[in-house]
Amino acid sequence: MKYDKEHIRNFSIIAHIDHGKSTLADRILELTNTVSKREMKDQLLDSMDLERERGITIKLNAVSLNYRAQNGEDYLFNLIDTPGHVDFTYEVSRSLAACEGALLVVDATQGVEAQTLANVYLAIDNDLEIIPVINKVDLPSADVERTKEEIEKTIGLPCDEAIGVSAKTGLNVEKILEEIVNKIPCPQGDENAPLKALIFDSFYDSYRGVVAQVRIKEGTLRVGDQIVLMSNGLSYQVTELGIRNPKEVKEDVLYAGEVGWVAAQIKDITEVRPGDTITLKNNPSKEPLPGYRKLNPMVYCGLYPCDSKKYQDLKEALEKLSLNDASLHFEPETSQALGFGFRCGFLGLLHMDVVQERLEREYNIDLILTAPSVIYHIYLHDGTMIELDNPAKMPDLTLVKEIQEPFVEAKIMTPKEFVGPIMQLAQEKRGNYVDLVYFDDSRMELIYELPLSEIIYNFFDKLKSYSRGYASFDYSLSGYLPNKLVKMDILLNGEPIDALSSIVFKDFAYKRGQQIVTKLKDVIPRQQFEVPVQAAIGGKIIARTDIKAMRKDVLAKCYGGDISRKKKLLDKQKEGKKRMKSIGTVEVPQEAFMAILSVDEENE
Amino acid sequence: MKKNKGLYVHIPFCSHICAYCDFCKMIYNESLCNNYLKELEKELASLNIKDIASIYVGGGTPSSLSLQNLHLLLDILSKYVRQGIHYTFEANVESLSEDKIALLHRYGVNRVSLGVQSFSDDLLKDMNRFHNENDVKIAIDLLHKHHIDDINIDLIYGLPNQSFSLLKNDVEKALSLDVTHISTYALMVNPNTLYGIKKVKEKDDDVLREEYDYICEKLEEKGFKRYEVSNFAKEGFCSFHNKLYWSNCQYYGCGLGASSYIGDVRYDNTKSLNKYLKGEYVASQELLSREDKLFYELMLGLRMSEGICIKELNEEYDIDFETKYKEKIAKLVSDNLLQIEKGYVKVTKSNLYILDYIERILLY
Repeated sequence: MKYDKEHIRNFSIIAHIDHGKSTLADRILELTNTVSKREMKDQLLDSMDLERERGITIKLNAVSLNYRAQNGEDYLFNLIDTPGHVDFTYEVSRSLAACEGALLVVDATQGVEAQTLANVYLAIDNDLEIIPVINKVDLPSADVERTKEEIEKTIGLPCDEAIGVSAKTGLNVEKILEEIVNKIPCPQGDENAPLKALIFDSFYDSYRGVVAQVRIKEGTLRVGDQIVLMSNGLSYQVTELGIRNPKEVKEDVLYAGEVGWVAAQIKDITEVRPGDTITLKNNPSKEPLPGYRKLNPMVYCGLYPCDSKKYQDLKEALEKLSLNDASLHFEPETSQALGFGFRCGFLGLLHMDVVQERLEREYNIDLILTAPSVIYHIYLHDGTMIELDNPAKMPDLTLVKEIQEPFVEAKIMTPKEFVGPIMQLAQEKRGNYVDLVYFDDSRMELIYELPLSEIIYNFFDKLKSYSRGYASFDYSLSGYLPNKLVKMDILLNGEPIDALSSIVFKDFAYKRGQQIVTKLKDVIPRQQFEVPVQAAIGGKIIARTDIKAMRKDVLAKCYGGDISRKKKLLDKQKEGKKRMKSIGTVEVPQEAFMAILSVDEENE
Repeated sequence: MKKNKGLYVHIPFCSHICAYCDFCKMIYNESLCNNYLKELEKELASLNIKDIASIYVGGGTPSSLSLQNLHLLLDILSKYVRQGIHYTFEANVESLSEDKIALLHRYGVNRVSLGVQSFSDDLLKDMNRFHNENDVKIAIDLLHKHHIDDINIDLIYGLPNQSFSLLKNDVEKALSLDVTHISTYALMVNPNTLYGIKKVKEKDDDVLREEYDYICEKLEEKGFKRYEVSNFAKEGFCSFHNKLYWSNCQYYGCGLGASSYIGDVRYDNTKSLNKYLKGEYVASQELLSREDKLFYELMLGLRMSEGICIKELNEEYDIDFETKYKEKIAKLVSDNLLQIEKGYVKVTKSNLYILDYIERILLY
């Protein structure tokens, strides 16, 4: 059934993890009879196990719902789900760009959280109408008035009419639906104009190729149309169109204002980029929709199977994952210490984490990850430049003229009172101050140029602790700058371990070296013999600790009743060893390779 | 050795609960104990027990039984006692009266294992134990008086507040006694014990190793040979019963929480007194394949200083041990962790304290 634009509402839900976004979405699906109680399973939009477990949304979903409003008219709601982490800020901004409004869900027991703010600001950037919703009002610890005040103060959004709901019990959820009808503007756009369809997500389907989720901004899209992807000029014929409710329903046409999916026998997901504009070949739009950005991996790390026999399995698993994940890059590499593996590129640390966990869980491969690195530009005396994504591959220092590292422009949003501590943090992280913008009397935006390597090295966690969780940030690559950088090697038993090499800022090298060897000493279990752990720069040892020899590893008592328990204990200990890699004579656990990231400066 | 079978009988009653104790136990109650012993008799009867080479009555505190109940217990067990049997009874110093000793001797008990733990009043109090050094001496004299001359004492090291000089004192006092056997255990803090609840920390591995090495040295000096990780004996006085376990022999285990190894199955009895008194003895069992048995045989045999006789092992499992474990043996031998000598495979003398490390390499 076709809806005129006045009866379409495209919206998204913005919420912090655990504030009840997915539960609210479930209630809305139930109330609009989109999904029957029978089909209902918790958190329907989060279809990956990992999403349900971690309570985060990784892949976007969009569903269409029918709603008969109190005015007796039928409306089509398109609910566009968004992921909620800084790694995926760009994707969030593109899916918000597909909407006219957003529900801002805030947990009445928790108040406004930093990540929510970042997304609210993205929504404001995209001119979205925002409807505040106070969730979990049924809980005894809910403080609705304080939460409203906080939203007004931190976001500047009037909350007199904010709806207090309980997504869990369904209380007042119907009121939200009425607000969507009354407050969120209907989509604009001319059905007869040249086609502009915004891609906000895509996934790979083995029968239909890449399926793109789109919002038609202008014009009309029909099955059989020849389409062009404006960022790369590639052309395809549309084989299928449809909407999801949330099951896929095929349609023949999508009109301006509508949200749906398009399949066109596209083989490679990297060609279908979020933010890109689809237009028609024979009646193209003059310019694409604004905001498109090509996403490149920001961090790289080595991925190695613990069991070297699993190399082929890992390769196949990465190939399968990358079918659906255009941001995942990988190519084979070899490490002396770890054997055969892959150098993989990710959008950020969460993305890396998610990929690792999916590989381990869905493909059952135990992995060793090396510490993430950014791409350095190494200028040699002979004038050539090397893009270095693996510190172990650093050329001989005598050949190197200059090392440049990537910088980002970081926009840090924070309530006023944390500006001081955050500036201090940014200084510690080698940041260059750029600007300080007042949003209103309480909120500010700090702009810094920061080395990307410092961002991936616990910046996010620090920012949260320096601002009691209230600051949020977004960053984009701003360019490369030369810096005093050196390669630091780590030696176990006197042997340099390539997978533990890192590139560090020279002035921090001694401190960092000491932190890393101490951390390694703590995470590497005692071995039969004492093992020295050293950090070195260009052959000069700058820090050392020793892993002590194992002195006791025995169950003291083993009589009749202890015997099967002892076997189980050995089995369990051996299972733990599977995630260790033997390097020479030393057994090194997975965490050791991440030691560079996790050294805790507070506990020196 | 292999053909010998043992019988373990568990007495889960104590007059008080020690701070470190992780065994199946409860506070002594006369009538409950009486019911328990009657059930025990039924359990024993339900098993086709014959040709037992050793009986071991452990706990809990078997000596906490009243004279009357002790009598009942010894009566129940008497049908399994035959000429030449090894018959050990565990006892606490303070509950071992002369009457009880005389009774034990009369029923054929020929070895007593005394829970001494320490000679320091403070440490004993800390462990929630109520005897002193003098009580130990008296108990040992009484045992000798009644011709029970094969006596073990248990000691604990690695206790919180146990300084090195207190440990030295414990070892010296132990060596001044007329006993044949000393067992010494590093304190293990288990979650459901008083120490566990108080979050007592086990001592650092380096300290424990120092203490252990000291104990080994002193005991060996005085003729107590270390024949297992935690066990030391005068020539000819190794614990026959415990060697059955380490030699992977079969044994019946009766009573609450006891374990058995009969045929191809290892059984664990229930730890619920209610279930036990209703006759639901077995809580879980593990069926063993030949590989499993070999695993256990090696895991246990390597605890002993003498190691495992390779010829017997090969015959029993129809394998060639040195071929089957070739690479692992080569690595462990080259690291000086394992040695093969005079037909026996054993852990090198100085590395028995990292036995589990060696076993994880050898057995997996």
